[in-house]
Amino acid sequence: MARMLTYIKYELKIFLGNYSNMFWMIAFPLLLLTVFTISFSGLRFQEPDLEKTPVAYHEEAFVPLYLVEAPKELPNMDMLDTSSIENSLFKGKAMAKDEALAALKEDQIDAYVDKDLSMVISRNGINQMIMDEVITTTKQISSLNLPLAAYDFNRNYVENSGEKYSSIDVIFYSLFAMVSLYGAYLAGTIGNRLIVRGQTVALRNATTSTPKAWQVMVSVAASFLWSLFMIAMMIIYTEFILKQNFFSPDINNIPLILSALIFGIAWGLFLGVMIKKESLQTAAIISSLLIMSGLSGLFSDGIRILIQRSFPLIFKFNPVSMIGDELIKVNMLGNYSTLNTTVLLLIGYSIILISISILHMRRKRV
Amino acid sequence: MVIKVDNLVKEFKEIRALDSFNLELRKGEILGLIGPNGSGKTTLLLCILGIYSFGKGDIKVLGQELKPNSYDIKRKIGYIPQDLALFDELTVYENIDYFCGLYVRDSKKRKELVKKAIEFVGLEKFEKFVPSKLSGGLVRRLNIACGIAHEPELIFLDEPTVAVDAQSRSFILEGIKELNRKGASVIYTSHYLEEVEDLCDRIAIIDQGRNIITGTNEELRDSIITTEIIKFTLLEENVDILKDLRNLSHVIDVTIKDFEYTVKFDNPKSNIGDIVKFLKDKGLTYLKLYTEIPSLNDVFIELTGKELRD
Repeated sequence: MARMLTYIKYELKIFLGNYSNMFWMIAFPLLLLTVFTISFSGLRFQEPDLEKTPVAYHEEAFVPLYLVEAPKELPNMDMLDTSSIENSLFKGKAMAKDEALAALKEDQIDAYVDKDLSMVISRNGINQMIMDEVITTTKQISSLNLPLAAYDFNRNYVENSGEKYSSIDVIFYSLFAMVSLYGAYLAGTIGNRLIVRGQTVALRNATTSTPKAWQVMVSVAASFLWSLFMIAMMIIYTEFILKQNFFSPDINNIPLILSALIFGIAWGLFLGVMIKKESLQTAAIISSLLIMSGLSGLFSDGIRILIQRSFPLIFKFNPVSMIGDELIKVNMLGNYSTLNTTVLLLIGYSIILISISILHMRRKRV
Repeated sequence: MVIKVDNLVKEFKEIRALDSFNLELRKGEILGLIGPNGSGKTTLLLCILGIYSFGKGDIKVLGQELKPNSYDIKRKIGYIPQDLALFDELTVYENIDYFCGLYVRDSKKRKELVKKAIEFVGLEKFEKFVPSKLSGGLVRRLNIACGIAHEPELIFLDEPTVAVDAQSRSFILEGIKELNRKGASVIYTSHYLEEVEDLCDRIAIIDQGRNIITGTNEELRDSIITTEIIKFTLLEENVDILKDLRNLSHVIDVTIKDFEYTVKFDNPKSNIGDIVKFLKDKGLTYLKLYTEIPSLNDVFIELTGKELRD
């Protein structure tokens, strides 16, 4: 154990001694956090719109939307007026798609639900989040042919949370999600250390009597500590220096953040093993994290919406979007409905990436 | 036998880097490998160390085949690569500790070994320096210390004196002799023939992936036809005498370069009297005239047809 600690110390010293990477590793996220706080903190805590969410829907979407809060004894559905719905969550009007999109553009409505239950929004916010949750659950229930009792929308998104969710928060949480993957930087060096492909240190390591697996373990442990330190530093900096409250003391943050850290390490290990050139590895890690974060809304809420609309699968399986969304749900909405899926998916990704990396390392003999 | 290489063949795509290569390293000896760049020296070391796989042949290290997971054998081996394999971010002490720790688990024992290695390479004053603060020669010494701190029985040194100042070079060579005196068997590759002649018990000449010959210095000299080389310089260059020189008995080759004539003989007796008489008969005045026995470079040239640094 003492030997392992010594090597973890050396790993961190080697990693942190490379000043050229320091900007991306420490300065960049802190700088972004500071700039975002200065630019957006005033917008974060505007009074929430506690009115029911104004929405429009295609006539064929009426029944599923009606069932969201339908009475236990259903009336004759044919007799119902399908032109409007009002319940505790939203207030809807049947509308043609073109008309609805125009209304959406002018902020008259927050969302439009199409006949296939796909949803169009023009920006992110609590209302859109509520509708997204309603539509997702509705789709799941109807696809599983569950009974009417399965519809349970009694969760009060706004009142259960001490915070109010806005599109600005998406930016901040995307940044936290990106930083949770920072173990990738250190894990990215493992390949160079252990695969003989030009780097002399790898050559020397390969001739020693210590198994590669042990050396990988040390590097992974160092990467884990590094990313844990980075996320802790971000939280402390946000909470105590910038005085912004993003994280609630919710135990559900732990599995989410741990799985994110593991994914970050697996991602770095994978890129480090598969890419031979050292300079390309760092570039690949930086750019991949920025791209994932950008698609998740780090630089603009508009990009997030565009991806949500046009490439829903990319959005759904982008790790930074998954982590960012889940952080919002846990910390701002007290909603844990998708937490387990997200954690399992991140762990699944990690297992795949680590397995490919290990197989590649074992196979690599010139 | 510490190492036995039999009919080793190693190919990189269509290039045959080692061709039916044979080699033996005896216990307690220093074996020098000489050959031009690309002759296969490093490839051979990496095949022996189990880093490279190979097509045909057989390699035994300390009596066993060395596989990537042969950790028991690896524990007894020290490897000093041709290029520096150090961490710029760690100090001298930490670098040696890092690599020593990959062989020695016990921290107390490791501490002792690291101290010994630092003393051995004379870096006591630089323990807390990072490599970038050391001179080229001192960094080379550190590179060596990282490979020998765990006190291996078998040491591979791949051109350890490249780009090293004279003082550090002699320090390094003395160090290698000292390691050998303590019982380590050594394989040493170099471009510097004088080093190899001075240091090694036996020498293997490698060219185009083949072991041309292995033997002691004397055995290598005896293996070639040339027995004596006489060199002289004339007041004026006279190419007409070349033909007559070639006709002298026991002369096997005559060349002229920068006014200096080089005449090679295959006669085991001294031939200098014949040359002096020849020049006198021709009425030629020489500025200097001397005789030498064939060097390792001459052996190399005769056996491979080219200079070592071609």
